[in-house]
Amino acid sequence: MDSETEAIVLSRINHADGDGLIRAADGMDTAYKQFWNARGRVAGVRVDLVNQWDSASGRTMLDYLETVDGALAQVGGQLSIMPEKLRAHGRLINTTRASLRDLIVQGYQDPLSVSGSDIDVLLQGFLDSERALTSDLWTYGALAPGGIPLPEPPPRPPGNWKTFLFGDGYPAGWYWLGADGKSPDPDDYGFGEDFDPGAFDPEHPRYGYDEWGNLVPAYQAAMPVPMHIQEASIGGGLLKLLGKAAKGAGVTSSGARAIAQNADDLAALVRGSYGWRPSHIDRHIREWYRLADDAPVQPWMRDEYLDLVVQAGIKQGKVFQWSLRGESGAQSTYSVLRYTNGRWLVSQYYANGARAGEFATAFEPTARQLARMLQQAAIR
Amino acid sequence: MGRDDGGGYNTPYIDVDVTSMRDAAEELAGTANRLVDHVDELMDKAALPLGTFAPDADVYRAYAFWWGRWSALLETAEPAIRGAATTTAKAADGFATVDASGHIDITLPGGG
Repeated sequence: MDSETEAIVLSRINHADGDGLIRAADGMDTAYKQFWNARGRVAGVRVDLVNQWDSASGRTMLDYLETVDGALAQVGGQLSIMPEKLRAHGRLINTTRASLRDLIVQGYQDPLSVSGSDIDVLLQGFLDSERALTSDLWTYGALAPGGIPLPEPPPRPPGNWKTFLFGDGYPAGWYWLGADGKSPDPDDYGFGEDFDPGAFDPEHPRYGYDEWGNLVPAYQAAMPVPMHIQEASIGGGLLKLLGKAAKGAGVTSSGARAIAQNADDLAALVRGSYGWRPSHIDRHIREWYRLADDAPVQPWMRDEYLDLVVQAGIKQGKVFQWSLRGESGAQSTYSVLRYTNGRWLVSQYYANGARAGEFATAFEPTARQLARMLQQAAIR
Repeated sequence: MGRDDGGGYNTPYIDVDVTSMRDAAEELAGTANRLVDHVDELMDKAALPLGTFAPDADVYRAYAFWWGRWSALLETAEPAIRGAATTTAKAADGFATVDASGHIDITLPGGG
């Protein structure tokens, strides 16, 4: 294992919480039993209704309940498969951490008794387990009903003066690769009227790269280029998206500020945004600190909350596009999650409109809100 | 669907038991109520892995994808069962107005 991979894996092992995965798996086991019970009750009603309500409308209801039963069975199927995989990975995290700790202690006591390969074996075991779990999650996730969205791709760079003037034959933003890792010939690919550049088409699968440089189906890829190229050039982080949104909207206020990848810039952006006005944000700060509705917000609370928002923006892993419902209707936002001391914080930034690129709001979401955020990102 | 009328013909008919239908509606409503609590419990637990995985890891995105897609289907179950409960109760009420005895057995010429 090379030193760069070693550093990544060690950082992930330090971040990982095996017990958290095991608790999640236990919760899913319980839910599986509860849903099985609900399914049994629905099935029981169906059997009874065959004789109790024998008419066209009754038969329609039977068909409907059969559909409900099918949905519960499908979810139950996932809840019978995934907990074991999460639990196995959780246990491996715990044993890997314990073994690494033992090796480090042993290395202090007897340096010659521990070799780099001893540590590599443990790190490789963790990495293999994480990759296997990742692959299973993609595979089983794709089986759920509903279309699969693709991440918003960056614009294609112009190839030469002809493509600059006349285009390259691809729809705007279409950037994904063929199974051979090369851009497919647009003449060989039918972009019909129903072509949707934001959706993954299983009949004509496109590809991109995962974090380890493997060619994978496009919906599993963060971007259509390998990670090291993303970091060096195109990038998909929140700050670049905010800059792109602000420029796209022609905004000249704080949102259009060139944002460097640092916390001070993001803090200044948040502070200068309409969403940070006390009449709006103080309510969320009070909720975060469990204050009464009329309790004053202390300056240190505002500073600490700002820091949480900024850290979420800087250390975000995935940027979700999530609608924000306001007085003027729903508006698309770039949203990031932060999990800290057992609590979630979601921060949202306007993706378009007059305030594009500006901070919109930040609050502690309920588990259902969290799930809906994931749903918007995972279903087309 | 139809019942043999004894002469070898399947005659379209309506046969309902209003009292039992109301029981069925109550059973469905109770199931939907319990499901709300169970889904809430599961949502809390299912969010835990997102806090466990490194936010910049593929496994984080993969978990968000898996749970995002399956939780959507899960969330349709409770309103669907509740809708079935309401419809069944309304149908029972409708049939009850036709026959105050709570049981009707009508053969329609055109079926259904």
